[in-house]
Amino acid sequence: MTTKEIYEKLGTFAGQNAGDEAHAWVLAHAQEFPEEVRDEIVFQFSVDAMLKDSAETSAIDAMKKQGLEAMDAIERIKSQLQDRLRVLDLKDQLAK
Amino acid sequence: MSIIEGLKKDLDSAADAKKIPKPEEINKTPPAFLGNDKGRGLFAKYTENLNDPAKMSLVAQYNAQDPNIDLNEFVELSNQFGESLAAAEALAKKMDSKFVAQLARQCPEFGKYVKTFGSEKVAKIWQEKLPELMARDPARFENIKDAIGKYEKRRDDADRKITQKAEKLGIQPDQYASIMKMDNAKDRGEAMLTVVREKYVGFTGGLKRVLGKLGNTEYNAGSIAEMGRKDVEKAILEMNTLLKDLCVPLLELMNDKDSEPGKAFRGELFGNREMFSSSTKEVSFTEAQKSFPKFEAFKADMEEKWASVPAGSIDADDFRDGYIESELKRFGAVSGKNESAIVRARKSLLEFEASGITLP
Repeated sequence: MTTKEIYEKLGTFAGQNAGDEAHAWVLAHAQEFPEEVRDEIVFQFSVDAMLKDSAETSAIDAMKKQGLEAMDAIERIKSQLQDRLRVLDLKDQLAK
Repeated sequence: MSIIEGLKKDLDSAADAKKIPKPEEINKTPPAFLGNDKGRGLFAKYTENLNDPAKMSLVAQYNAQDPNIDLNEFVELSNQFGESLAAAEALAKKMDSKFVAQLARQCPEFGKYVKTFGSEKVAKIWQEKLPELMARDPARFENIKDAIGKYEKRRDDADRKITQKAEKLGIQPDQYASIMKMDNAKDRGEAMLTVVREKYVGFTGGLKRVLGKLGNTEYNAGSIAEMGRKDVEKAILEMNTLLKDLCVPLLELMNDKDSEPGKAFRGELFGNREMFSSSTKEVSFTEAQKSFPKFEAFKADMEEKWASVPAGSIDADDFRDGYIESELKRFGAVSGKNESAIVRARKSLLEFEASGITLP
């Protein structure tokens, strides 16, 4: 595949704003590209892929962080309840 | 002759010939990277992208060996670039095949490139091109540097804590593992959603109830001190259930990044805005909503449309065609004349189906 053909194909994807399709096409056909062009395109597309992953990861990380905070809150309540149980046990023992 | 000595000699010659002030006259030492072709080349590329006209003018003066160049400012600008170049080269050095393979495990989209071309090849490309990226597009380079930094932190942070919590609670994600062994992606997706929905019934309601009690001071230190044994024991069991109900989905979220069940699970999570809302704690879902606006809009739209269809009056194919047509209208396309819109519409439909919500 010539550089011109690759350029035109990517231009078509760009015109359609079809980023996902462009990624899939590059992955499927990159072995047919001239080496220098392939390296450049693989680099640019893999950078793009990592930034896309990063956006999703940030959202998932926020979810995990919120989940951990909620678990900490529940554990604090549980700890207070366990203290109360120990107090009740002690009172029962003293009453015997 | 060292790079600095060579550069000094060049500058001295130029200064003599063009009356450019010598570095020692302005009490500055030019950065070493300007003493080699690579450094000069990158600096020239970088400065082509400068938005500041004053800086561009400065570089143009330098390139033209203008005797009026302000070497002081030029050296400062070069030093700033030198710092960015050092950061880029340090990051490039870090991107060996082992590190690239680690990133691939955490970044599914990036991982596709590593799987196709191999971690060594991708590492070689990144090592070679990262400094160039910094030179050509500093903003994009900064984004990549931040993203990689986040992955490194993430590897050591939330996942580790979630694992520790799971171990403490004695949770073994067997259910998750058995689901993942199913051959058919759709079966796995539906099975995972069943699990998630079951968890939500307990989790969402339970967490809201408990945090609601906190908000109403039912579970504050004073009220706990007044509780009797039966209530305390019941409440501790409730806390244990809540902890497990929360930890299992987090474990699943942590371990399942690219499969259809994983995507469906996240879709469910982000679709459930009420999950962490309570009278005592309001958690922003802005980030999540930003990342999944299409899914939520799509899901809501699909549910609304399906709800309006009388039971038994339409079959699945008609419903799909009807939905694709409505998507085409949304994209402003005329049916049959805009292939990309059709592709996007069909893709959206597949995404919806991947969410595990079964069409009739």
